[in-house]
Amino acid sequence: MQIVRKTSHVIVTGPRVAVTLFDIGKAQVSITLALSDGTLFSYTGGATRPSETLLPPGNYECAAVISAFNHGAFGDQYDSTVNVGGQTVATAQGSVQVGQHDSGAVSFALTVQ
Amino acid sequence: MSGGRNRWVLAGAILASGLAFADKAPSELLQDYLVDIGAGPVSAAELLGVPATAVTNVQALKDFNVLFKPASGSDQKAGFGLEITPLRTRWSRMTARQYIDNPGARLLASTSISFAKNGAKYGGADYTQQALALHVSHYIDKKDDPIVAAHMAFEDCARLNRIEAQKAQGLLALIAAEKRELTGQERDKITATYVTSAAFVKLAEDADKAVQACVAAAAKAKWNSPLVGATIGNAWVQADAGGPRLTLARSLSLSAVYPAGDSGAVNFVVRRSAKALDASTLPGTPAYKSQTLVAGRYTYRGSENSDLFGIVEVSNARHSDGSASNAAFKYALGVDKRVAEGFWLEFRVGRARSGTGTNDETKALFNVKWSPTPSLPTVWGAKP
Repeated sequence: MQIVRKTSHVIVTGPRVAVTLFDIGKAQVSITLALSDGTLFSYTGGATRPSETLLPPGNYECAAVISAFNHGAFGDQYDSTVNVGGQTVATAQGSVQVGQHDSGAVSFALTVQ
Repeated sequence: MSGGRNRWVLAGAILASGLAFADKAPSELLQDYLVDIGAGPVSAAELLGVPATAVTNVQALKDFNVLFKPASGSDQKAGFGLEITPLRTRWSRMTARQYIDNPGARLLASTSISFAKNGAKYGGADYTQQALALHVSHYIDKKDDPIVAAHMAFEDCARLNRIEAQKAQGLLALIAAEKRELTGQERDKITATYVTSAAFVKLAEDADKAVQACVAAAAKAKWNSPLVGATIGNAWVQADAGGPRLTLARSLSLSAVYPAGDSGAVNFVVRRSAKALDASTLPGTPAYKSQTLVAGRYTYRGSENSDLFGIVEVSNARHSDGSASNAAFKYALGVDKRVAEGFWLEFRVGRARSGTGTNDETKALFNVKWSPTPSLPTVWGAKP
């Protein structure tokens, strides 16, 4: 899976930081965002709901993983987005064949001011 | 219908079934765990009495279903029917999220179109009968719907979430090990190495297995979940020797299935025909009437893994009524046997209107139903 990283450094104003993970394709998709302070966000195909976390000012490392599964029921297309602080950080688009799965990762730095 | 048009219908069926097979991958898919819980309806065929039952299998909607009834006896000619549920085919653009969140979407995706044709002999003359029908079914509790259950199982798959978190944290560990600020290119290089590493590939494999396990464990095959359905249809008849095409019936039927314990299900159908042809008036001046057919069925399944279903069904069909609906069994015993995935045999023996229409006689009927790869509605649970 090819994940397109839009930026390697996101700067947001804290302490409230909004995170939105979503997919508008038909495949079964899981999106996970891990922060270096241990905070985790995940999306597994439910309704898109922005999450919010409180982060003290500072620098954080972030890693996002997007995985798509096609078990023949929900289609093969994935169209995923990782959005942090209102900024699109990474996107992934493509298809996964029936019976297959595909997964990719991306990392970026996050500065909370 | 001419032989040429017949060939087009059959060619379409073969093409559709071939495409469905082409979509099947050889690896271990959730399709291997698919629930194939019933023979599936071919509603138009029921208007013609092809399956000789008034009871619709609302609990087993397929994306594509073919019925074939071989000829048996002098008055029972061969018949066939096709049913397709367009939004359940692989060409559908409906998303699972739309299906799960929107009751209207579920109704649309549970709407099927069917066509059926058979032969009949009335007043010593041979006739060809055809029917078209629109059928819709709906789970009373959406959590009983296999599609909803499967997707909810995916969304709530805790093991998947743990594995995906491990994957992300693995990348974080590599970034942290650098102990310096990385450029975008350096990040991409580390990430590219990571996602091709044996550890990441192993986690990806584990995640895929977790998805399969979650979905398979989420739902046992509820073959007798409460469902309601409705069918509207029109049937016609025409003498093979020529002549006008006559309306055979215009029908609206309401059907329901409800569990009777873990091993049983009760089906109930009311079919109202607004313009039912009294076939006993053929080949003379056709007479029409309105009539209501009521039918019920009890289905017994010995164990949750059994492929054999015992059937008892009754209806208020009368031999004195010459309409097609009243050719259904008054009462019958039978079995539905799943011989392979998507391949069902239906056998019935019971009392039904005789060929002359003057009395009842004991009839035995045999139908074959085949649904090549019902992709969307069968994504969950263990094998039946």
